[in-house]
Formats: sequence, C-alpha cells, structure tokens
Amino acid sequence: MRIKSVVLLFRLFWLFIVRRVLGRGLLASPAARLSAGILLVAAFAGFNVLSYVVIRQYLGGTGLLEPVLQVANASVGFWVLIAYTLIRVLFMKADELLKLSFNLPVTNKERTMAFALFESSLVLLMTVFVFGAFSISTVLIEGTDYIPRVLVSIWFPAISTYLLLSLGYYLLERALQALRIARLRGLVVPMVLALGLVVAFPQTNEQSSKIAESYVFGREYNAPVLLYAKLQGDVGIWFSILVLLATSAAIIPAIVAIAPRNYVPMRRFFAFLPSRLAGSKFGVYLLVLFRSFETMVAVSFITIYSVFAWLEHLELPPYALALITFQGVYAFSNSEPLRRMVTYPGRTVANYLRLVGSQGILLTVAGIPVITISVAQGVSFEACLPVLGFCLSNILISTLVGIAFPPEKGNPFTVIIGVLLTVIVVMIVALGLNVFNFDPIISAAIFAALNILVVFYSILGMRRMERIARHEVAA
Amino acid sequence: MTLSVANVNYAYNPRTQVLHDVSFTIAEDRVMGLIGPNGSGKSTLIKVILDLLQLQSGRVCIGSDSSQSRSAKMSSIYLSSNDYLPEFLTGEEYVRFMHGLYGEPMDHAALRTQFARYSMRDRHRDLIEDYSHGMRKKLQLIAAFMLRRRFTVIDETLNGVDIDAINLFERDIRNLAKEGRSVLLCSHDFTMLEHVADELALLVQGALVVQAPVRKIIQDHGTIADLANEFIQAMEPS
Repeated sequence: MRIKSVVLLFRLFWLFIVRRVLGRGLLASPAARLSAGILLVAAFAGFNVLSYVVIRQYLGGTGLLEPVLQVANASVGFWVLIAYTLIRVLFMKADELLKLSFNLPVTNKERTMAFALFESSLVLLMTVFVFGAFSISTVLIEGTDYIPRVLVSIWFPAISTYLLLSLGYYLLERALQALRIARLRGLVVPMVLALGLVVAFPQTNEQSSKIAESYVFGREYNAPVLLYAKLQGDVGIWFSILVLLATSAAIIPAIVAIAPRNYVPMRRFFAFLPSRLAGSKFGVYLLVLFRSFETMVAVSFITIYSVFAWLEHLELPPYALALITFQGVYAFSNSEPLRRMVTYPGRTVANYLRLVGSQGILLTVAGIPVITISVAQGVSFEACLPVLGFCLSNILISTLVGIAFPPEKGNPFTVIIGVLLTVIVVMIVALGLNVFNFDPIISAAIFAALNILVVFYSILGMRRMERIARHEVAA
Repeated sequence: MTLSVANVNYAYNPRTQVLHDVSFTIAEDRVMGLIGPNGSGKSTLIKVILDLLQLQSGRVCIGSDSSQSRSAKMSSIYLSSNDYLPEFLTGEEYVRFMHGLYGEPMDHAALRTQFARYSMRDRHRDLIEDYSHGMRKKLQLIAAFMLRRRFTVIDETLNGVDIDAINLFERDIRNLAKEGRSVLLCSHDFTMLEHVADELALLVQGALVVQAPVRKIIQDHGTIADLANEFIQAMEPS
C-alpha cells in the first residue's frame, strides 16, 4: 500500500466536498461562504460561552466538576457511537465519491484507507464541535492544570472508541463479503449500529448513576471506560499517552489489514411490494419510496427504537416517527426518472400529490404499530396526535426542501443541507409558536396556514424545475 | 406524413444558435437516420420535436397534431441516449409502467418472449439497478417494440448493445416500418443505418445539409461514412 496514493486520494475527497458541496447553490458566492464560515465560528463561540456560563454557575467551586467529568468520560463512547452512526449512514450513499477514484491507479485497499482517513477527519470535526465547548470551558474554569484530566477523560477515550468502531465496521464488512451479502450493507450496517446504540444507552445511564452514587458515598469507582483517567491519576499523564499510542498502534494496523480488498456496489433498492403497483402512476411513486434503502434504514431505526422503548417501559409519544418524514428530502430527486423518461410527465399538481401522498401512506403504515406500542405503554392517544400533525407538516416541509435543494445521486453530503434546512425551518416555526404562547387553536391555524404556503411553494418549485428543463426560463 | 418539421430554430442563449431553420418530413412506413458530428444539434432537434424543449420558432407536427398536444405525445415514444431509468423497478415493472402511461394492457407472454429474444431470459424480475448498461438499452428497446407507437424516436440508444441484439433490432425496426409506423433513428453506427434506414438526414452545425434516400447516397458516395467524410473534409479549414 502506497501512503502517497492514500494522501492524494484523501485530498481529492476533500476537494470534492469543497467544490461540490460547499461551493454550490447558495454557497456558490465567496461572500455567502464567508458569511457561513463566520456564522459557524460564531455558533461555536456562542456554544463555548454558554457552556462556560452554565458550568461556572452550577459547578464552579463546588467540587462537582470531578464526578461530572467522570460521567462525561463514561458517556464518550455513546456520543462517539452516535457521531459514527451519522457519518456511516451518510457515507453509505457516497458512490459518486468513490467513483472519482475508479480510473486512478490505486488499489482497493488504498481507496478504502483514504476513505477511512477522510471519514475520520469529518468525525474529528464533529467531535470537536460536540466536546470542544465542554473541554474549553472546563479548562477556563479550573485552569491549565486541568488539561490532562480533560484529555484522558474525553479525548483519549474518544480516539480509542472511534478506532475500535472502525475496526468493528471493517470486520462486519469482511463478514458480509464472506457471506456474499455485502450488497446489503446499506441496511445491515445501520441496523447493527442502531442495536449498538440501544445496548450502549442503558449501560451509559447505569454507569453514570453508579458514578454519582460512588461520589455521594465517597467510594472510588472503576470501569474499563475510565482506564485512561485511572492511569493518569495513578501513574501520570505520560503513561496514559503511552497506553493510547500503544493501543492505537495495535488497532490501526489491524484496520489496515482487515479493510476489504475489493469494492462491492451497494444495493440501493429492494424488490418488494407487488409488481401490479407499477401499472399506476401513484403505485410507482409508492414503489420508489418503499423500496429505497433510505426508507428501510429509517423504518429499521424506528422499529429498533420502538422495541427498545417497549422493553425499557419508556412512556414517550411516538417521536421516532419523525425519522421517516425526512424521506421527503429524497422524494423529488428519487422519483425524477419517472417524470424525465416520458414525453408526457403528467400535471405538476398531480405529481406533487403523488409525492406527498405516497409519504402519507408510509407514515400510516409505520405509524399504526408505533402508535399502538406507545398507547400500550400508557401514552394517551391524544398525546400522539400532535406528533402525527408534526410528522405530516414535516413531510410537506422536507418535500419542499428536496425540491429546492435536490440531493444529488451518490453525493450524500448534499442531503445534509436539505435535512439541516428542514430542521431549522421546523424549529423556527415551533419556537415562534411557543414564544407567542398562542391558544392551541390559533397555533394550529397558523401551522395549517404555513403548511398551505409550503404546498404552494412546492408546486411552484416543481413547475419552475420543469420549465428550466425545457429551457423556458434560465436556471 | 407522420412527422413534419418546418423552419425550426433553437438557441439555448442569445449567443449560441443550435438549430438553423431545420425543415424535413418523415413519411409513414419510413425509417429516417439522423447523423452529424458531436454538438451538431441532433439531440436538441429530437428534444424540440418531442416538446421536451420549448419550441422557439417554426412548427412541428406528429400526424396532424401539434407536437405539444396530448395526442402527439401518446402516439410517440422516445428512447433517450442516457440510461436514466427508474432503478427501483424491475424490468417487467418498467414495461408495465410504460404500458400504464400509454393506457395499454401489457401482454405478459409477449414480455417474456421479448426478454428471451434479447438474451435476457428470466431477468425481467430483476431490479433495473442490477442491469448492465447494455441491458438497460435493450429494456428500452423492448418497451418500444411492445408499445409499437406510430412514431418512435431512438437517440443513440444502441451504444453498448451487443451484435446479436443489433441484428434483432434491425429486423424489429423494419417490421415497425412495414406496419406503417415511422422511426427517427439517431446513430453513429453508419453500417447499421445502411441496413435499416430508408432516408438519411445530415445535421452540421445545426443546419440540415443533406436529406436524401439512403439508396441514393450509397449510389452517389459509396457509403454513408464516405458522405460524412466528405463533409468533414469540406469543413476543415484550408
């Protein structure tokens, strides 16, 4: 394996992100990019200030920072697993990124390693954003002497957990290849990660409780996840660094050795539901939605969460249903061939109704069992209704975002923009209604009016796209 | 006449005129070959004919109807040069969907026969996602030959299709013409065009410079390739 090839590919992948994601659409102009950059830095700074104020106010001088750091240490694994799951699911669709390297003189191993390096750089950025504020404010309050404590409690466990997860992922890929089901990894890997979250969540909670209990009763608490902190306390920071280097030196070659040597394209669709549906236009819109692996992944996550909620007796409204409503981001672009392959694509309004109608059916199909489980757990049916209303609204908003910012096939990073926009719009509307504290009926009326506006702009957007395709108007 | 194109001009922007006053007709039971160098405007012309690009000037009729009318769209079928197909459907479902759009019942036995003829026996239940480039092209051809529209437009669909399928295609396209249907066939495969086309149109820099029976072209120039070479040489700067 040539290191130089890996580094060159790694740079190529980053160039792809910069040119194809950060340099398109609204971000095409340098001024917009600069503004977005400033906004990001300001958000991180604000996050730091908030964290500093909260920690100083509640924990400064109380001596409680020590157990809080231990709890944070215990939960690092869970947060890294969440970040890893997000990145892994995102990278499942990165075919176009990989195809960039197909005509280059690199081996599959070099391609995989460059991809792993690229992926870890993104995870690092996410981790800095998640743990950075806590780390910085802790050091600001307790002084620079606290830096080693933060390193061994947060950063060292995060690095080791990430490396272990990568090793686990490549082992799973190898196993899937051996079983000749590697094409199904788009479904299997997210399910395994979701199961991992389900297992890790109660364990993290349990450990946090034990740490708090030990602190109250003045006992020392030891666990494998606190290894680096324990070594730092007992021997010193240098020994912790040595152990981190030794573990990394053992895991990284194992990752290189186990990384698959051949590339297997991923299955994006699964052939189920009767073929008869293909005879009608609406039926075909149902097929594209139900058969896509993104839907399968969302439904798997919801199923696993619902079973977990059932086993743990969690009395929560079916918030998990919101996951499938984000499929709206893909709805327009995934069904594009249906409108492009024929000379008469049908009326825009009818096509829009097919787009959202098919998602409504998916919501119903997934919603019935999930709501039944919630009701069986003791949640009132009335408490489930606002969630359903929110989901319906989210379908409309995410469909609009998918029309305004269509995700590119094989370029998952364009989806992030769509999902982020959906979340921002939904949050602003929800917060706005909350701030004004309107009567529920007035809130519902405002929400309905906003949704009508969303439908109007979606149809307008689809019409404009059709006209652009026919060169009737400029893009 | 199945197709009549009269004085069609097209520009993507004020600086780039792609089609210059193009006029021609295709009679019933005729296959017309459309050739020209890359960027000569062949695909643009096809898209204007099928109303996939807005007509800017001139007139296009399919049968007696304007190309923008619903009946014109229902009597024509377009096989595009790219394989932009709904990958979430199986081959059978794709053909069923196309039949649904044209309001025709699908003959299941005929579908299986066509798949077998085009060396894709028992692959009709596989997702298009799993089809190779050539198989996707064959699938488009199968749909067109099953639907048998009055006017079929094929835009370089045969690129990447194996020799057996090309031979079958030549027979099938001649059968379409024998039934009184018309075909516009855009291709760079001149030998195949000599076998199947009745007439040939040569588009150079957006202008139709030749429209003549293939038999006459062979008589005057030897082969279609010779005709194309003559034009290339004439266009080269001296």
